Amino acid sequence: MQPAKTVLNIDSLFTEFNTIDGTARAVNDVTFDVKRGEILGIVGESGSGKSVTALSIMRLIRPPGSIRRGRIEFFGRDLMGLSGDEMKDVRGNRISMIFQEPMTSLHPLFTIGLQISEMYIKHMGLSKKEAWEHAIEMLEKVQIPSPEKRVKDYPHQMSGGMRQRVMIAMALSCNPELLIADEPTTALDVTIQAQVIDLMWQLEKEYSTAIMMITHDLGVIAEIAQRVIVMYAGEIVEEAEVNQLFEQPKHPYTRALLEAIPKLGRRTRMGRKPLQEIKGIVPGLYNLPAGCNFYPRCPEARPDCRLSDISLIDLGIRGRVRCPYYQGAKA
Amino acid sequence: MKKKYPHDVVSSSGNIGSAAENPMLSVEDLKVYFPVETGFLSRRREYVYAVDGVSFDLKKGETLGIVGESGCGKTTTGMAVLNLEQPTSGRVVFKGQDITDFRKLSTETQLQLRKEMQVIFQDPYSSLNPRTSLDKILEEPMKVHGLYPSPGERRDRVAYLLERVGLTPSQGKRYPHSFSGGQRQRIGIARSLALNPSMIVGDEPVSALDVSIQAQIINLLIDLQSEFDLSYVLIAHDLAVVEHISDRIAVMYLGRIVETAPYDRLFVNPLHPYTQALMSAIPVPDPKARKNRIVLTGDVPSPRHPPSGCAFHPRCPERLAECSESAPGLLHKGQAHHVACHLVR
Amino acid sequence: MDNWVKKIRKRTNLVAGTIVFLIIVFVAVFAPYLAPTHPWDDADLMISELPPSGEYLFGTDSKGRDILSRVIYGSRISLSVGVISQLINSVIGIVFGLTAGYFGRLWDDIVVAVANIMLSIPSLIFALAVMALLGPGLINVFIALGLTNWAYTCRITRSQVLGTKNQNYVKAAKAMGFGRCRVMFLHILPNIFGPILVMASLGMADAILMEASLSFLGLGTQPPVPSWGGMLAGAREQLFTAPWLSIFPGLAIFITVLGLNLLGDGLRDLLDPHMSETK
Repeated sequence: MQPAKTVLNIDSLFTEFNTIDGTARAVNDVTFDVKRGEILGIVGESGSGKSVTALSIMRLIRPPGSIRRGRIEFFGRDLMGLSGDEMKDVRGNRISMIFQEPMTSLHPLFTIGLQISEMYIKHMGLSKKEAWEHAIEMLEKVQIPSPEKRVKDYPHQMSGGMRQRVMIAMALSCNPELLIADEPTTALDVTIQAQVIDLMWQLEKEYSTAIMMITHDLGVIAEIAQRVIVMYAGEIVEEAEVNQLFEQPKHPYTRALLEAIPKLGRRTRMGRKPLQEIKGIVPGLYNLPAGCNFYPRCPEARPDCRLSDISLIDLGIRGRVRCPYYQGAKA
Repeated sequence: MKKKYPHDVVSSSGNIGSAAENPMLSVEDLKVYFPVETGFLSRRREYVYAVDGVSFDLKKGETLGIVGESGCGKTTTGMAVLNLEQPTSGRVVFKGQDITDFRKLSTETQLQLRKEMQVIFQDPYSSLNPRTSLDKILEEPMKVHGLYPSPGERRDRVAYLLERVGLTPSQGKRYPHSFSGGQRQRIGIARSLALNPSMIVGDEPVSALDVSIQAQIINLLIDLQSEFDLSYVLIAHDLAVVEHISDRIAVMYLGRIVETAPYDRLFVNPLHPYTQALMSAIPVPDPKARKNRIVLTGDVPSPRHPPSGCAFHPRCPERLAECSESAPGLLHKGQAHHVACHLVR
Repeated sequence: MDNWVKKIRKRTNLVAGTIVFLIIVFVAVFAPYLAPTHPWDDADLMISELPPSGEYLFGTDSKGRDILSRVIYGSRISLSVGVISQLINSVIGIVFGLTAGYFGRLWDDIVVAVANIMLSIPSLIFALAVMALLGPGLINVFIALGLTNWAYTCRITRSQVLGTKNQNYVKAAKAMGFGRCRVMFLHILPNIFGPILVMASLGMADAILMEASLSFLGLGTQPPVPSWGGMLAGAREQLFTAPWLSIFPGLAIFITVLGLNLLGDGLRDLLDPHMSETK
């Protein structure tokens, strides 16, 4: 087997929003890469910068937001240097994105068949008829029952789960090298979420598309991702292979987060203990604390954590962590 | 079914578990249908069968968790208990008093009942009046109900409530928009406590919150329960949260309760295929636990056109021939465990 | 607070509208001190129809009265008509809109039907009919205009109520046992007041125009009390021989109405939640 090829390489990305309230540093010095055929999970709470990172990659940041600096290399080519038209060709064709609410991402007045075939017509230059046939094929691949019939449906005639499948079909129609999924299952019921996660697994195997899975749900991450990046207040605080992350979380935030979620069956087995809380609130991006962003809430904080910004420590195959005390903290 | 197994079937009065003591709340065969008009020129009237025959009891100091997916009627059940939705039929009995026809009760009784039953909503953003300061949000119900008549007493009470839910009394002058989601949920909880209620219906009280905040609110709800001697009806879609908080859990599907049991019974031995599927569908935050899930096919049917017989039969991996013909009744399987399924005899 | 200052500075419409409105209020309140002469007692036929000059800035009319003074005093009529009749409109509109939206059912159907009928009658015709019934006079102008335009406020209030009454804070208020009036007036109304205020400022402009029209037709303010519409009516025949007779009251109407419209637009931008979210 060849060594995994890097699909996307993000280097020191800074994205800001300038409003009358000040400057919100939504993405703050974010560096990571995505390899071919892998599912990279990005997990974080609201305001952690996970979605803004995704939109930055697609160059879909609109004023008052802007990408301050950084490189977004897609197969070695910096997307920041592309013209609007060139970027349009990359979007949808080579990098696709699916969103949380599939209803707002689909045009309500066109049939889904038309919307999928448009992808083929626009990006691959197929004829209408060929595109339509491909659309049916695609619907079959995302396991929509009787695709020949459903292809003529309008988005409002479908359920949330079906619409998300259509979005996935559209996203995969041009065989993209990278699929960015921003909370694709959050709006869905658990039984439907299970279907969609299963589907994404299968498609990933079949197409070996690299997938960036953005979610707030550690359960979904554990189910689907191979490598995980944890974000907090615009920064990466930890990166690790999925088993490592859940077995030996290094950053105090990751540890606290894993402790904070109620786990199914735990009370039945072990009795009820209060959930481990993370005290305080998620900091506002307009006035981040000095030093470590997590310092005010950190159960293991030390006085010097607030003195200077903490840099991300590279631990080789064990990933990266933004905490100098990641080893001693447990003791 | 009922006639076949008379000794096994729960009577329609639905005294699940507690025959001896009087329950705080008793819901019997509750139905809530919403009329919808369809058609462009010819108006046809159809019904959404949001809640279609639900019975349960709630004991004093108990927490009943109601779980189910969207459209299963769990929220409508909660709202009907509070009489924020008008029941179509059935009975809601609170502390021995029939409150089904709420508007026909005397004004004093209505006020008294409102004081006793409170609500916490899911969305902390739309549940607080944006033009009202925190102090006013908490004081107004006391004024209306004539509790703590002197302004000094009221101020003390507001300060106490704010402190109790983890805010500081000095924040009382501020307006909801200056608080984060978690803090707003704390305000909502403080408001629900303002009248010293005996029962609180929580409609997904933590599901809109960030993970790190969710734990704070869950712990707070559990602490308050013993401190204020509260009974909870907790509506949620997250089984893990429900297991953590509830004493008893009812699983709903398309307007009906399909299974109800004490929390530990339900997790050790789920009997209904839907409960089993629901439990196995939940993503577990442990990559080693990636397992063979029961993945249900298809979507939840619309409550406008529920399937015949057992409403779950089109998606059920273990359905029998009779499932599409007759709806199973709730059967008692011992230790307060009830299930409505033809597979379980 | 800083943000409010910044927001307001960005909105030229609002600032211009507010300034014009405040100037008119000032002029109306201090008319006796500002006007060089009395608007009708100082009639002097010797100086009739003098063009604008250093002595008579706006000229004089056919009875030899100073037009500047009359325009200044006329602002009192226009302003009071605008404020009072719009107040009547707003109260009627809010009460009907609020109850219709909140209670729904038959009451809603009735209110909507009546409002639609009102909206389909040209407002000037309706005001004329009421004036014909009540007879001319300022008080009757207030009443006629106050009964004319409430349907707009009613409609906007009702649609806002429909959007707001299902908010959870309204449900929470019901769950606490708050009475209907408390819920409607203390919980819903304050949250929908923005659009109603916008409607009111635009409605005031409308009422001022209508008063001018009524006075022009001789049904409004009775001479010798000056109103801008009445002055225009009186100047009809001298339009070409002495145009200043019509130009200055006309300008006054124009500026006032423009100012109020700018104020309304500005308020709409300021209070629209969609605008303030994007900042």
